[in-house]
Amino acid sequence: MGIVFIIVSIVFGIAFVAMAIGVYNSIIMLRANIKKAWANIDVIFKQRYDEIPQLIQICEQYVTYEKSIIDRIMKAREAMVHGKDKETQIEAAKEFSMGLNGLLAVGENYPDLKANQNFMQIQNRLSSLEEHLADRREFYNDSVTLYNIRIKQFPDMIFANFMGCQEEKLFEVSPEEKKLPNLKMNL
Amino acid sequence: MSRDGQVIQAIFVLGTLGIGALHKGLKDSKLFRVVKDTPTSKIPTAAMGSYVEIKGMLEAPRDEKYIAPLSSTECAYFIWKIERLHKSKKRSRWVHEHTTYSASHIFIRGESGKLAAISLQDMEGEFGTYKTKTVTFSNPENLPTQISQYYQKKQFRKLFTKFLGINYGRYRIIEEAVPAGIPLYALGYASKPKTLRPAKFNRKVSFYDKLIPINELKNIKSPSQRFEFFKKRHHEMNQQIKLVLKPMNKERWRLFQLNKVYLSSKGEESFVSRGNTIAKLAVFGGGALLSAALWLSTYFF
Repeated sequence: MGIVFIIVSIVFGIAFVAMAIGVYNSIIMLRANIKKAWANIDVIFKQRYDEIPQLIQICEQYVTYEKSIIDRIMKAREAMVHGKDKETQIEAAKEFSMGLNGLLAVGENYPDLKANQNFMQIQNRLSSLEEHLADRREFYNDSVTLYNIRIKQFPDMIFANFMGCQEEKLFEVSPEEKKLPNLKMNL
Repeated sequence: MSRDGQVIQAIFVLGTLGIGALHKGLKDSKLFRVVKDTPTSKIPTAAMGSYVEIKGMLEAPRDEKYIAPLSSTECAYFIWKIERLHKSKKRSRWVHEHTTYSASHIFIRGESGKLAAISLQDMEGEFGTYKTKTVTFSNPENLPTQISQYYQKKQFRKLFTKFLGINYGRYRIIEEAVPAGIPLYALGYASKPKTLRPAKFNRKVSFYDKLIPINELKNIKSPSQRFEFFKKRHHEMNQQIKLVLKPMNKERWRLFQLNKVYLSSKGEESFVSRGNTIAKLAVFGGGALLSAALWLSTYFF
């Protein structure tokens, strides 16, 4: 009877260790996915950061009464790339997007600015970066969701608690960005 | 055989079955986990590196219609699995000799409408069973008409006969014609392709057309030397050739390729049901192993 107990214990022990290794590796992979997805977003932030001084330089020549928008963008630009943590960067990125949309919308009121070739070029470049950011944000949110689900599922949650896994925050769209654009059409 | 011998044999069979099932279950569960844990990338914004997952539709490597030579089916591309009949005293069986694809890359079109290339080198997985045609022949010097016509057209017949002619015997070619437009799931390593270049216009040049300059082969008499030449040339071409397949158009392309790819036409969803089977297999393996160990222990102690 004793030997049977030992064998059963050994087999269950091996099964437990194998499962623990599997869950551990899986959580490590999910964490790495989030890091990779965030690094990809960071690249877009950096590209936006680099484009902005040129845009501001052009806008300042034409837009003289919109200093507040420009200040808002510049402040968000710094926090977006040099923010102390991910949450700050996400908030700054939302602020930046809103400021940028505001600036581009204001640009519509200045025909000379609108016709400026450099302005048009940067505008196109920034909208392409926004599209890239939207895709990468989706990818990041997918990675975070997979991770958050895994660390709450049984039996993975036991190992996740031992590993000190915390729920990650999603990169959500701000309520202002969700608002429909105010389109005035003269039909 | 004595009763003891029979018991030992039964324990051995049970243990082997258990180890096999456990090994298969654990191995497959690793892939299942990776598939389940990897978020899907979009082709226009997919990052380079490992574990890139893409979903889309299979697209032909060229814009013109492609006809599989044996089954005469219109397809995106085809696979030939060449097998040789291996005869032994007890039984005969078909042994896999070589697999060849009609193209080195296939294309996948994502939701965004853009294309990505998928390298078929080091490819795993399957496309499901589509139109299959098997042709059997006994002498590689007298290839069936469809094959010889295909290779004559591609100026490749001589090489093919020499390539297979090293071992005379009974062969069969299983052709699988994979149609365009089937849903495809791909998971692999994304990189900027070194050997793939977009065309400025449609070129009707296939991989095989560029692969072997037949004139160079005339100077090589020995079949084994020819085979070595073929292998070397194949490797060099894979490294150097500018594979120009589809015309470049900024709206359609994003130039990256997936290497060491796992492909499936059954989609990610099928992995969920497969996951349950894998788990059952692993549990069965563990159970069988445990039973074998217990049986052995009660027998000896």
